Amino acid sequence: MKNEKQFLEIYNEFSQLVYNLSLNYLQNIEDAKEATQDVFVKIHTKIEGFNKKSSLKTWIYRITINHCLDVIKSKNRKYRLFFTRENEDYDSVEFNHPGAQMESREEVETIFGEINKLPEKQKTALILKSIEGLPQKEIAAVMKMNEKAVESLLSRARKNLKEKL
Amino acid sequence: MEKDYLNKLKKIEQVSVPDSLMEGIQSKIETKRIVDKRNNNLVLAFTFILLFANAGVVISYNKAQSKSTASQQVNPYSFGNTTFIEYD
Repeated sequence: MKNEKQFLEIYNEFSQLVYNLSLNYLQNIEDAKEATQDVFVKIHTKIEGFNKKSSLKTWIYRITINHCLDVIKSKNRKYRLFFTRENEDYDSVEFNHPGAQMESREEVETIFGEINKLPEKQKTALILKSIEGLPQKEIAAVMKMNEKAVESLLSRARKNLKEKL
Repeated sequence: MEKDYLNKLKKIEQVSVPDSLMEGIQSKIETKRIVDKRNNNLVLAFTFILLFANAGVVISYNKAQSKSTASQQVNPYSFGNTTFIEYD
């Protein structure tokens, strides 16, 4: 990147967003730290090609979500390689989310365990809406979908969770 | 129950970024720069090797071609021995 000062500004503005979003996907401090670093390396590499069709925030959301989903897939592959048991998946990694309140920690862990089993798009819509608190319009922009599709994803995600919890 | 779990998710707090994060990012960027540079050099070296190998093949082919055309040319001086009509 030509302008290191610009990168530092982006880091100062978005590092908290990237770190917290990574925590919500990976639920583990070490994995979230690693993911945040990798996301900023990607931002550093790709920022000159950023075409400004969407806002910088939306673009960073997309990079972070895609990276976290890739991390989960790769961890699942490794788990399946070493543990042949069917249900041995990434959600069995130690839950270590510093944002979860102490008194409801176990319940939050159970909820995340079920969120992790949802299909990727439902999981993303639910995290962006219920934890990140994004408006539906912004979620639609991040996920490159229309608002109706996001609404349908959210209602399916809630229905699935309701059945399991 | 549904409202309950949604409320619990909403209560998840935003946490601040660990201090050592930027150092890690800078070191990863530097490592990536070195790896990219090394890869570019490897690609460049491989391209040159390919280029020289191709040039070698083309030159040797041309040499072989020119040799074979020379051998196919009729030597007018050797012509006499076989076709010369002798008169008594």
